Amino acid sequence: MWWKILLFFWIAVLSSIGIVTPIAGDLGSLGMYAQMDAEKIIPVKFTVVDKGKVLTSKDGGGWLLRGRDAYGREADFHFPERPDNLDRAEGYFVSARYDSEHHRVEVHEVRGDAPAFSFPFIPGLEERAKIIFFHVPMAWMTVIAFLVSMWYGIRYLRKKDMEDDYRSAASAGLGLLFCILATTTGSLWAKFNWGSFWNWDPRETSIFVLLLIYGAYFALRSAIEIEEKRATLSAVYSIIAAVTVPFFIFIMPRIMPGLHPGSADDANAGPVLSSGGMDAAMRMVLYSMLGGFLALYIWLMRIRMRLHRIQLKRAETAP
Amino acid sequence: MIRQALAVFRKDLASELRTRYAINALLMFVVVTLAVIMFALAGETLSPGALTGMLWVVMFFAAMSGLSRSFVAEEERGTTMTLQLLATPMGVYLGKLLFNLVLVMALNLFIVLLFLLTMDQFVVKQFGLFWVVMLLGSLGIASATTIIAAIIAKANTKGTLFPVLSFPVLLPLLMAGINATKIAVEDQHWDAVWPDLQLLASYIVVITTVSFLLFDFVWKD
Amino acid sequence: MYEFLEQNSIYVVMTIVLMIWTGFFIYLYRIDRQIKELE
Repeated sequence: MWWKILLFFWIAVLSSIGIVTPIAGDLGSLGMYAQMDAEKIIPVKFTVVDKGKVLTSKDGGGWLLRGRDAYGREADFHFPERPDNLDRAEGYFVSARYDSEHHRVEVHEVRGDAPAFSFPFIPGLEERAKIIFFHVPMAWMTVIAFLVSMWYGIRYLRKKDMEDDYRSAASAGLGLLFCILATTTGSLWAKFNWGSFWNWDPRETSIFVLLLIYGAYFALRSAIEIEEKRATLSAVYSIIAAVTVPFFIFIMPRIMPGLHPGSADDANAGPVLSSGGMDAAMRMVLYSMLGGFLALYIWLMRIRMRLHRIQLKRAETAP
Repeated sequence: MIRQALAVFRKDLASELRTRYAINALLMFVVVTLAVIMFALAGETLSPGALTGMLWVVMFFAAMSGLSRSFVAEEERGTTMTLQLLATPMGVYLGKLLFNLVLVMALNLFIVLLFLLTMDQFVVKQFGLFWVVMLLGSLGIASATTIIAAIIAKANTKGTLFPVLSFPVLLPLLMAGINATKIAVEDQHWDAVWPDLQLLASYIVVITTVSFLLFDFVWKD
Repeated sequence: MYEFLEQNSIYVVMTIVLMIWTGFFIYLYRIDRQIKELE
């Protein structure tokens, strides 16, 4: 009882954190956009090093601050007028762009104080990067549910226990659910980020193959009436399919060029997958969310197994 | 075991040559498919790359329509029990694999020859590589479909289920095969094809080993 | 309130996501209770 309520709060709080946490760039992202798209205004946070001074009208007027970003790089930040709370402010969260002509950051709007907890600004993704907290756990659960299904399939072949077969089928059903969710969320997101619902990116191919395998698995199960035969053959098929799955999930998306992070041509993936791996804050939320999804999967499996036992009991007692 | 496998193979071959059920149906299937493609393409010029894809589509569906035959026929004739009594599962599997292999290779040879004769735009620049890829592709198709044919022979809807179950399992082979054939057709350097050949070879080894281990469960009821 | 939500539309997203999660968990919890009664 209590762990279910705890799980709900775990997932709800993490979803909220994942969605609401501001995305704040640094001087690196400002510099990158100065070369790519000079007019683009992006969110940036910095700490104040020097409270600065008033500029004369010859320099364009306004207020000049010396600021430092999360990586210790410093730059001048030009505000159109004296910023609020300058006496107590330790840092600012602003919308800005880099002005290469004056070698300073042009602040367009002050959003507030610098947030202590923020996600990095990823060029090309921005706020859309937050899908990672939902989409990636779903995709992982698809693979985990498939492996669990195969595991119980192997156990059935060794011990011939019908309960293992039902576990295998239940896990495959949940995997299919997660697979459909991951595909639809990813596809909708791709429309807004990459311009079309489906691009045949290697990872899209791999989830499509998983969808096909799940579909084939259930088609096979529904085509056999004798229980033992159905259990044996579906277990064998899931093992054969599992032999080819690693190629799609782990090898192909990494050796072929594609749109997802981690592809072979992924040179400028930004803070999500730069040499140090994913940003620590994002990684923390993602892994916690993955734990929540795993617990949810276990709960769903237990519900399905209890229902199955009730159905078995009914079938036995019924005339 | 080898002797049993050869016996099963000879039996299948003899019954096939007597009725010519699969051969006739498959040859007609290939001719009809190619005719449809040529009607659809009348007057169009396609790149050799696109024609390569089409060649593999024909090869895939020809295999799908013919290869389940060897196991389904045993079920239909009711000879499964006899075979279970007379031969070990390994012998049966190897024999069926051998028969499927010969069937696929003959079939693919026929498809490729017909393709080369009828499609003017389909010009292969590196014939050595092309035949190597075709050989590996046939081996892969035969080894993956034999175990799946054994599975679906026990199911109620035998015909429709075969391509559904085979396609996801065959997809790595198809992708690597199409890519390698494209390289052979477009005459790129041999280095470019090496990963694909490695993939094809490892796919064949892995899928044959797994089928070998699992066939026991499928075969004995 | 309206102005705040208009400028911070991310909170609208958060509310919708939380509503979906709440609905899903209430549904699961009710199924759980019904199964317990059957058992």
